[in-house]
Parts: sequence; structure tokens; C-alpha cells
Amino acid sequence: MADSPFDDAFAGLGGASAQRRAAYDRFRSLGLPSRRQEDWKYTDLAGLDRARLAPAATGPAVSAPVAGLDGPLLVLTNGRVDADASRMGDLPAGLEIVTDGEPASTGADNALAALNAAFAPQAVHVRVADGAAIDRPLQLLYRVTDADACAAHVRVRVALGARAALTLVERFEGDASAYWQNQVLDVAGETGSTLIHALFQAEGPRSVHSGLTRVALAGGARYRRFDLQTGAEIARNEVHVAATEAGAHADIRVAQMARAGQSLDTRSYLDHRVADTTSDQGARAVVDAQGRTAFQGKVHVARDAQRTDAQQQSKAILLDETAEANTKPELEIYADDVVCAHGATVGQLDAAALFYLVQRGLPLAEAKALLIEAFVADLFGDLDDDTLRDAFVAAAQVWFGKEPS
Amino acid sequence: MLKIDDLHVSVDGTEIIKGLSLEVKPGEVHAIMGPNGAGKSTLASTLAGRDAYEVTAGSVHYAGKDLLALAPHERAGEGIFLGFQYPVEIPGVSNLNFLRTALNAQRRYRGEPELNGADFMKLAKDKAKDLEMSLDMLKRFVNVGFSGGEKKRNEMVQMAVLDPKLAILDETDSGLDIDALKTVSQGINALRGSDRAILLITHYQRLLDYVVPDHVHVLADGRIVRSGGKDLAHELEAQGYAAAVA
Repeated sequence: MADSPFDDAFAGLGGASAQRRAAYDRFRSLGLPSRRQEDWKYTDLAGLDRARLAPAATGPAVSAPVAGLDGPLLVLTNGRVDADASRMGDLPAGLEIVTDGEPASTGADNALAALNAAFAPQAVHVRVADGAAIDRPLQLLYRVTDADACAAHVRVRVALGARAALTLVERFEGDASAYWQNQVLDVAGETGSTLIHALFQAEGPRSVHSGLTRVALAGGARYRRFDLQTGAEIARNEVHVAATEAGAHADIRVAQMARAGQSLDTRSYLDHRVADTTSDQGARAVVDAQGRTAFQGKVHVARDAQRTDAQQQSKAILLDETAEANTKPELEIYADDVVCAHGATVGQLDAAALFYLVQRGLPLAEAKALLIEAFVADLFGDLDDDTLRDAFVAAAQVWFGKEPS
Repeated sequence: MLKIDDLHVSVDGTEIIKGLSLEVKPGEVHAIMGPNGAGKSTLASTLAGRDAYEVTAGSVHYAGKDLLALAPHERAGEGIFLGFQYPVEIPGVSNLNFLRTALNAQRRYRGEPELNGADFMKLAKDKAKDLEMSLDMLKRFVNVGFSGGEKKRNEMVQMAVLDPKLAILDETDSGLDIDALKTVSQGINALRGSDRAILLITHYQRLLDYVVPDHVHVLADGRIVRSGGKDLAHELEAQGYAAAVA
């Protein structure tokens, strides 16, 4: 096998465990994904090969949790748990959080996950006991600072016991250095459990962000993802959900806001393996001049997965003729008694609505901002937590450079 | 207050308004009537500054200013309100948020302090109550799921809150049952005053039984072909436009 620029970085870890070595070998045999692969058509990671390889050093502590949310906060700075910035005392009963230094091996054919397993300095394990409904959200803040040409690999595992419930809020952010943050999140939901997963991707303007979420749902378990992508120069997110028992349900809500030079790509994979499972995907994109988004939504229905109900809606607004929004629904259905629908629209702001607003006195820029805010807010309408919903709207407003109201 | 002089307007290269002149003084209510396709809505859209309505000749002065040189939101800030024939639905934006944002944008334009949340709520609730619109409806998204009559009433609530100097009401009476027509008429009459003017654009005389105009004009083929007092509306209703225009 030819030398890889990653070899030096891996050697630099010094005395890596057999487990890390195996993960690295796995990565070496897979190689970095390339745009020649259908799945990676919209994202170019070639730049990672030359830069952003060295493990990021520990940076200064920063604490910027989502406004208005109390509850436990775990901060990872440059990939490592930052105990001083975190707020982990007095955890609610039934919630356990453990950090260890040896990430589990991936066992998957995903190159970025293999690389993550080789390099991630730590793994965070979140466990919710059977029957425990945690009433305060758990916040994970991933912050990268002063990390030019460096990579931060973070790895999180969430295990929900039977009938357990948790709201997990993740926020990715960083400074203007040219870094790469690569996350792997594994979720296992036991019977009747619910995970509300709110994700704010607000990485630094020169960064590369990659995220892989893998969810396995048992009978009646629910996974509800609310995801706003505004940051990074290149962002690639994958969400894999396996519905393994009857009654499992997933909601995926992804909003992408891209401006000049940004490329935001989300790929979902909803795997309905057995009968009587459901999923509902909604994607919204707002793309300004020379920005690009892609939403590739895949639904796979196995031969025996009768009475699957899988919905998918994607809507994009282009603010300029040089903006690009790609939407690619993919349905692979092997059962015959299913309800699977998808719809996609790409358009501009409604001229009649804009005129209505300016006639009432709003300057054009403000009118556009209000319509875009409404377009994005609509996607988060069925998020029950007011504070979180407001936080999404505020994050969308930040995208406009508007002071959050 | 409003002086239109030999106005010509084209849409997509087709001339719709062909030399229209009209003067409206403070305190007056003018009705502009006419057959379909005469240019009534084009006139309203042009005065409000909608894109695609190209003024090829003539002038419009409002309160001493060159109206055509102002952006649409500046015209609103100067006190011009357009009541839409087809009010637009805006999912995701509540009526309250919309109205407060609009009112404060206008106040900023005029150099007035913005209204705080409590003062705005009181104003909006009072005006909505006058027009029989519930708080629940105010909280809903702009016009989404509203009936035709509710949309027109909502236009009147907006007008009452924004308190314009010149209201241009484009077929505000269309699609209203008799009760809604009365409510909307009350809203219009409440705005009448010595320092304000109202331009009623309508196809039928019905509204003018409730909002009695000072002047009635007949618009046909892009020009005002007849003007008169309130009785002209009855004559048109009795004889039809063809006879009046001939």
C-alpha cells in the first residue's frame, strides 16, 4: 500500500493500542471518500489529505452553552473533555456520563469512522437507565480553537434503556483556524425509549466538519433529530437509522443555510428492517450567492418490512442565481404494502409575500430575512421545547447577522 | 395630498394606464370604479411601488414628494397603505410578529421611537376588537387558513394599527358577505379624518352605501372618463359601465 499523509500523524500518536492500529488499518484499506463515489458527489474532502491531520492540541477553555438552557453541560475542547468548562455536578437521577480513553472499534465500512476510532483521544458514554425520563437537556459543546492544520476527532455513544427519555443538545463551533472536526455518534434506543436530538452545527468559517450519526431503534423507540447547519466551509453529515423492531419511529429535520464558499451536504439512510416502522424526513435549505447544499435522503424498506410509512419532504430557497441546492431522494423498496412518499421543491422567495411585507413598511432586506426565518422556523414547529425552538430561530437570525430578538 | 398627472404605466410592455390624472385632497374619499381590465388594480399597484409596473410617462406627487422616486417601504413609511385584493398568506410568521415588525419599521423610518411589546399588544388588541378579530386569530400565521372575509378584516386591522395618511383599498369589498361588509366599512369610516384621504377601488356600488365617497370616478381603458359626486355610483349601478362610458 502506498504511503498516506495520515501515516505520520498516526505514528505521531506513539504506542497506539492494537485496537487503534486495527481501526487505522481499516481506514487505510478504505481510503478517503472521493467524489467519484455516488454518495460523495457533492463533497470534496481532497484537501484533508494535505492538511488538517495532526491531532489538535488542548486549547483554551471556552464555555458558550445554548442560551437559556440549564442542565448538565459537557464541553469538549479540541476533542478532549474540558472539565473546567463543563457543568457536570449534580446529574439527574438515571443519567450517567463516563469518559474513557479507548474508543471502541467501529466495525463499519466507513472510512471517517475508522479514522475517528484510530485518532479520537477519548470516548464519551452517555447512559440513561431503564424508565428514567431526564427532564433537563444534556448539552454537549464541541469547540475547536487555535487548531490550524489540525483535526479534532470526537466520539460519543448514547445508550437509552427501556422507556428512557433524553433531550441531547449538541453544538459544534470553532474559531477561524483551518481545522477539521470529525464526530461519530452512536445511539442505541431500547424498547419504548425517546431521544430528542437537537444539533447546531456552527463551526468556524474555514473549517471542515464531518459527522456520522448511527442510530439503532428497538420496538416503539423514537429518535427525533432537529438539525441546523450554518457553519463550516465544508460540512458532510450522515444520519443512519436502523428501525429493527415494530413501532420504531424516526423524525429527521435538517435545515441548511449556506453562503458564498460553503458546501453543506447531508445524507440520510433510513433503514426499515422489519414490519410496522415509520419515518418522517423534512429538509430545508437556504442558499445565498455561490453557496451549495445537498440533501440526499435514502429510504430502504426490507422485503418483510410491510406497513412501513416513510415520508420525505425537501424544500430549498435560492437567494441568487449562483446558489446551488441539490436534493436527491432515493427510495429502495422491497416490500409491497408500504406508504412511501417524497417531494422536493427548489424555488425563490415568494415575490407576492415580499411585496406584501415591504408595502407594510419593512425594508427589502428585512422582509427577506423575515420570510427566510419563517421558512426555517416552520421546520422546527413540532419541537415541543420552546427554549430550543427559540434557539434554532436565533441561530438562523445569526446567519443573517441580525441580533437575535 | 395626492396629485397624479398624465400617468402612463406599462406591464410587460403593454400599456395599461394611458394618461391618468387625479387629485385627492386631505379629508376626501374618492371611489374609482370601472369594468374589469380598466386598470384599477394596476393604478393601486403602481402607487404602492410594485415591481414590473413601469411608469413610462407622467408624475405622481404625494405630500409634496415625488412618490415614484421612493422605494415601496418608504412609501409605507410616508403613510401610504395598500389594502390588497388578494391578501398574501405567510406561513411561519404570526400576525402579531408581522404587525409589530411593520409598525416599528415605519416608526424607525419616521424617526419615531419603537413601540415596546406591552404597548404594541394593547394597540393591536384594541384595534382587533373593533374589527371583531380574536386574539387567537392575531396569534395565527398571517392569513393562513383565513376565509376570504377574514383576510379582508385582517387588512382592516393592519390598516387600523398602522394608521396611514392615504389608504388605497383595492377591491376590499370583493368576496364579503353583508355582515363582513359592514364590519369592513366601519373600519374604513373609522379612518376618515380631515388630515387623511382614502382611495376606494371597487367594481360595485355596494360598498359605497356604507362608505359614502366625496367623489366618484369611472376608469375605462386606462383613463378616467367621467367624474362626479356620490350619485354617479348609483347611475353606474343602474345603467352599467357601457352606457356611462359611451
